[in-house]
Amino acid sequence: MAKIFILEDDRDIREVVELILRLEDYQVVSFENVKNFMNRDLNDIPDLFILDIMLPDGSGLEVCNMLRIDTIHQHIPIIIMSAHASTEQVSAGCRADAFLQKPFELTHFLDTIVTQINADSSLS
Amino acid sequence: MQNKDQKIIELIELNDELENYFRNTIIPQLFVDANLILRKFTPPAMKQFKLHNKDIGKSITDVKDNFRFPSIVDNIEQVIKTGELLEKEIQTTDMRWYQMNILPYIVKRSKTTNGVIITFIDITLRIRDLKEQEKLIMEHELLLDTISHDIKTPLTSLGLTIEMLKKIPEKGMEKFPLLLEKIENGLVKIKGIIIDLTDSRKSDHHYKTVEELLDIEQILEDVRLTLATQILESGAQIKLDISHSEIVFVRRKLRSIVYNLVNNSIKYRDSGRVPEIIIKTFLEGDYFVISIEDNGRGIAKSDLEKIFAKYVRIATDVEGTGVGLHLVKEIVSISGGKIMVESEIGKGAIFKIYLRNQTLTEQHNLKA
Repeated sequence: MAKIFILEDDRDIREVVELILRLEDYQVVSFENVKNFMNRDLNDIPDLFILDIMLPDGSGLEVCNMLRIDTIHQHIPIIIMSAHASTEQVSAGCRADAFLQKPFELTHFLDTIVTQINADSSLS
Repeated sequence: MQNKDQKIIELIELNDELENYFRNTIIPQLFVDANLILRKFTPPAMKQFKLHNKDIGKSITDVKDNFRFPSIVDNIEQVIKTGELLEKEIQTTDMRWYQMNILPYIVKRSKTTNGVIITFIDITLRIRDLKEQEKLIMEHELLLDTISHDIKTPLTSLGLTIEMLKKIPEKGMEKFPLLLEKIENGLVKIKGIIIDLTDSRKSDHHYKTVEELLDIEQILEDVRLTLATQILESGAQIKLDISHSEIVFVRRKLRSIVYNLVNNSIKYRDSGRVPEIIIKTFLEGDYFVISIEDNGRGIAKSDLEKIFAKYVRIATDVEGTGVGLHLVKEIVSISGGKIMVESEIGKGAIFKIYLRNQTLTEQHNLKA
């Protein structure tokens, strides 16, 4: 069962995304701010990160950059989702694998996740 | 000889004309010759740059500190050397902005530059306006960005939740309450954003209201015209008893008060009799009173308190939004007035609007 880590401050989005992913048989762990995310159990390695950009105590882009330079996590795909940034801003801000512009549709969301998780497993 | 005297007289006259012109111009202007000697300046230059008549004949380098910007001498020398006009915006050390023009003073016969005429146009206000405009544009952009971001977030959860709800029959009902809660939260957030936006706009005074001296008879005539169709259809009789007609108020607000009350009198008429509306205006203590009395269906005692609440509808057989009386109450209360209502079921209603009776000067004093 693939494991997904979500960093998103809006509780409604977090909970509905958790629900959607669990119903698709993913294992989901979510974090509401950067602090909680950084304090997570580092031995627990997910198959995918989904990061929001605008967070109360930091930016998802910074988190993305930190993951990219970290040897354990650098190969794990990252999806950035935001209402603010355009794709250009994201690609300038960090090397994410995919970008979801809010509001996005359910099928697009699930397609993106499936693509990223499969891309990763085919590489490894 | 005669000819020479005539020429001298003409030159004196010409000089007088120029002197007068120079004296009466409202723009600071200086004339500096090719040796950098200050030859002449206009009275506004004296005021603006604290120059005195005794400065005439001095070198511009001796008074350069008066101009509160360091490069003026270099600029003058450049124009004398090149013979070309120099235009630039300068900010003096007292933070005022000027459009400075340095024009070469060309002697026609020899085609040489014999000095410069420097003109200063104060553009401090224009610069300030431009900055203000820039700020407004930025605020506008920021506002649009905030709206779009803040609304997109609840829209995302709403959209996903609705799609999930569509799948409920496949996935089972247990998640139904959670999904409904998400929809509700999304709506509450969007509503909140809209309210925040409209309230902040109000407080920023983007939409200023102006009090003016009004004639209530004119307002009543406006309202009568606006309601012409309803009055004709209902056969309503409107009687006026105006013992005081002048009131200081915001025109569209006063119109809104009268319009809503007269409109209600017609809407909630008693189908058994010809609607009759009596409008009186008079002074009572510190108040200008507008009384609107009708012979309509009336309001039950128990409903009297509710009629001013927003979106509350007592009679559902008549079309309405429940905003009219709420608006009237808001306008009247904010202006420092009050509203009284007397009514009994089947016996019509009297609405009395008490507006603070003040003159325009009192109004200004209050604001000052």
